[in-house]
Amino acid sequence: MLHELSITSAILDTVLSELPADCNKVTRIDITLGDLSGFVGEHVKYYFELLSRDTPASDAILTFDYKRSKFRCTNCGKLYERSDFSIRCPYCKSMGTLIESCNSVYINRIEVE
Amino acid sequence: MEIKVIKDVLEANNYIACKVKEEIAKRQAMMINIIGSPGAGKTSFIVKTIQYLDIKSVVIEGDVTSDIDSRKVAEFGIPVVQVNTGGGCHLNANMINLALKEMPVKNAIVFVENVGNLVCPASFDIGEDFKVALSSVTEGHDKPYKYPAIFEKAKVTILNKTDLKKYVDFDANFFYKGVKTLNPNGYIFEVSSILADGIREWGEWLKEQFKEKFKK
Repeated sequence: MLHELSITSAILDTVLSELPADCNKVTRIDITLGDLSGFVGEHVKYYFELLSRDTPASDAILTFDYKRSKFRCTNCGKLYERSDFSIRCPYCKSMGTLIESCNSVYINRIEVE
Repeated sequence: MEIKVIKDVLEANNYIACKVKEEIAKRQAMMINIIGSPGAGKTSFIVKTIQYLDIKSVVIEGDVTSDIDSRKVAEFGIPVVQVNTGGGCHLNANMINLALKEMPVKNAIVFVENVGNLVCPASFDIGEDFKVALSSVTEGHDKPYKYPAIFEKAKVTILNKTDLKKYVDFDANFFYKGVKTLNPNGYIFEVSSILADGIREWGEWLKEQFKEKFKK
């Protein structure tokens, strides 16, 4: 859980740096999390609550869009996404090759008042 | 009001990482970022590697606290700077930027031993030429499946403590399948840092990388 502290701090810094001068409240932050980033949305929320105190983002709702990495099975050739607990092909249970890696953390949009 | 952002939250870190990379190139140096669990054998591996190489080498040691590892490295006469993160579970580019200012080395390999952790260090670039994922047989064969990011991003995977294979239930085939799935073009070396087994193969490969960097 400690792992999300730095990334949450970076999220907050990015949001605050994007705020227009006449804005005093952030109401929503939409974040994209790649599955290979290793970061967990619920833990980001926990740290965000602590770090955002006394900032315009303290009441913001955080939403997460999880992007899944894609693999090509080396046995059956099918394209598949990484599941929660496995990088094996869900069709034939063989191993594949990573063809699209999702390991970034992006802020897509924020809503302000 | 809606504001479209579409911004990598690690942009600030990545900017400094680019500056570090430039600085390393300017110094005709190469920097490698060694990432592994606590107790995987990173420090011993670095020392054994440097002892094998005939290239000037320095070390940046990253730990949450203490200077135990940097004292161990210094015992072998290797120049070293200790970075304590004070609770942070990884090194970031700015820490390396500051450490390099204390270490005006040129024409050398800079070995960075990251904080013992397989998660965050994979996300934070520090301006390295490449990452090395170091895993040991005593940690088990499941690490690529549980911590895919580092095995995907590392140019090299080192399997350490191979002298202990016979004592532990380590399925090498399962381990390598995981690594190859995530990183089909990566390099893999098996070593025993204690016995110095495999250090020659890895060391020769590393020397070649160092030469190649400045051929371009």
